[in-house]
Amino acid sequence: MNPTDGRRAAIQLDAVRKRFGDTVALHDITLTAAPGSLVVLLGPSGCGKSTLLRVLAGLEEATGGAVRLGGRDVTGLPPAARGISMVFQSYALFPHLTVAENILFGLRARKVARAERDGRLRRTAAMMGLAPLLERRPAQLSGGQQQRVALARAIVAEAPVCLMDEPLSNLDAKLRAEMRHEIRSLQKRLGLTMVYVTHDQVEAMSMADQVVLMRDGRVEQDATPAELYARPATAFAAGFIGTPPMSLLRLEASPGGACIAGAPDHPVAPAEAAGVLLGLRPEDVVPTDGHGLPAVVNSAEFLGAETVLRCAVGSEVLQVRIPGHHMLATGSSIRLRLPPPAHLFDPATGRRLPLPASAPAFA
Amino acid sequence: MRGRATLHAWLMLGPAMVLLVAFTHYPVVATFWHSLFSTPRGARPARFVGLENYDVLAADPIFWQALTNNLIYALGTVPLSIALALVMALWVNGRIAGKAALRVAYFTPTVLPMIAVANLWLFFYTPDYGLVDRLTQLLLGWGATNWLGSRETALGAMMVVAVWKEAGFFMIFYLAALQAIPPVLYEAAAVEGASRWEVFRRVTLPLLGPTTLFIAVNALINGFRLVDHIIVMTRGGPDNATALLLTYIYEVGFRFWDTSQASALTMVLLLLLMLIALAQFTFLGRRTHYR
Repeated sequence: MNPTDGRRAAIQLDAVRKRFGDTVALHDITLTAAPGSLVVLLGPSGCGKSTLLRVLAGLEEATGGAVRLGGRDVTGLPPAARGISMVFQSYALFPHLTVAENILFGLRARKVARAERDGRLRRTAAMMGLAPLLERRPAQLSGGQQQRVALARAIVAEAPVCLMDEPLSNLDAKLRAEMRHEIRSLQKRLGLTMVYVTHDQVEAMSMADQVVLMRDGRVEQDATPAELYARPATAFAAGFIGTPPMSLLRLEASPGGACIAGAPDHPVAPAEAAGVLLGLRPEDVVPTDGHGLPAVVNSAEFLGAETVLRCAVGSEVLQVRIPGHHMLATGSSIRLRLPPPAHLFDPATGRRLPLPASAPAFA
Repeated sequence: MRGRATLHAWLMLGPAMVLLVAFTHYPVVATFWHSLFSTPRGARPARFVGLENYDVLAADPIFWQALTNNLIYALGTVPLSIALALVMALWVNGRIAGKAALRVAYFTPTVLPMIAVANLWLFFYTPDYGLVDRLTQLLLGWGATNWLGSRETALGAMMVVAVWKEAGFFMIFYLAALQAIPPVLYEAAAVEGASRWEVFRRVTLPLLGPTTLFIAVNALINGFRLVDHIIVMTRGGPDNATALLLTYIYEVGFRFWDTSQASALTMVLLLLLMLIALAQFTFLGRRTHYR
């Protein structure tokens, strides 16, 4: 990324580092987000995604590196001077203020004229369906309504960048799906650049233009959801994305080519792939009546539209996702047809490896 | 079955009720009853006199002086000790070096017995070589002042002692309340661009509302109740300049042994306290947000 592109980017992080005492929370994070895009910071708890968001917001000071928003260096600026709005996981509504006062808190602090304030409140309240609730206190609202108030407070600021810290994690599953949809359409309609922190890959995959997958304070992969699913850059990304995620199987050398460890008679990849990890999407593996890789069912989990089987192959475990209801008994034998090898990873570094030149149909 | 449940209920209520009735409710009723009779003296037993004791009170200039003193005392010490408590709490709640030591220092006066505090301040107020006079001489060049012996300064001197003693105690409540405010609210306020003063006025202060109400009720009650230092330091003098309702009750009841008159005085004090508590809960309670 050359510096001139930074001027067009809504968000640009340059080797941002954050240390708490001896612990390094963020290792030189560099990333760029285009204006009007929704960037999801995804990762397991403790990966640094929330810290990164707080550094972006200015609630934590970066130990090193630069934060640029809309081409402006904001590294040393307080949150209020950065042109951002934020939705907190706990909503952070002021319990003693009414919904209207909560939404207008920032505009009053910024001395926006009364007429302008009232107009913006009316528009935002109408947009978020909060008009009948304006005189209530947060304690008199349901969790979903509180969420909307927090969202309204962020939107009414009309800041170009909106930061969201796991905004949906306190809602029930049904409401979460609705709000996901609503936030995404709102973000598109208002042309906001949004950074959205979550540990929920469904939120990431369904909402994001760009997913930044993080682990241990580092960016594991920065890509579109489709790319992240189709070409995981590391074994960690492969094992994180997908429900259930990719199975990672050790490959061993055998006379006919590389095969799954402990299952020597059924080569699944060219001989060059021996010793690496093979990634298999559970939805790409299909049970077959005819010729195939023998496997033993360890467990079967029925999810409604589909069944997820955990199968032992040699010394490895492989998940298989099949449509419909298939209650196979534990210990029953099945045969599986695998797709051509598409994902190989270095077992030491976890990096994605190029496919061997000759990859004919195996298994 | 039903009888058993009732019995259980009475057993549960019993201990608290015995204590309340024996030490609170019965004495109130008994005091009221006594205030309607004359004081028995020697061979003359008490006889019913109706509201005569109250009439005497209304005509007693010392009673009016004590009442006025007490109102000044309460209206002076209550806001001052609350404000001081809040300032100290905000100060030791911030990120400053040695805040644990500072908290202890602020809390020390609360731990000391009032009698000890009074004796300490007797030395401070000693004319000429007491701490207060030394300071005023050094800083302002004043001469010796008889702080406790002059009508003009005695009540003020008592109020200073009370504030000094009380503020640390109230600080603890404010400190606890401050730490119960979720930090994320301050973060939200920071993102919204509120200045420090606005954050204090629009977030901190309203969220401390219930604590302020609690402290105000306690401070006001203490304003009528906490008189140990006056008994030790001035005994209500000079010329009743520091006489408060409670010291006057003590004087009438246990030095003049006019128990009926003291009962009437007690009823007046009780009525006053009840009215104050009622007013505080209705006026402040309506504007206070409970989390």
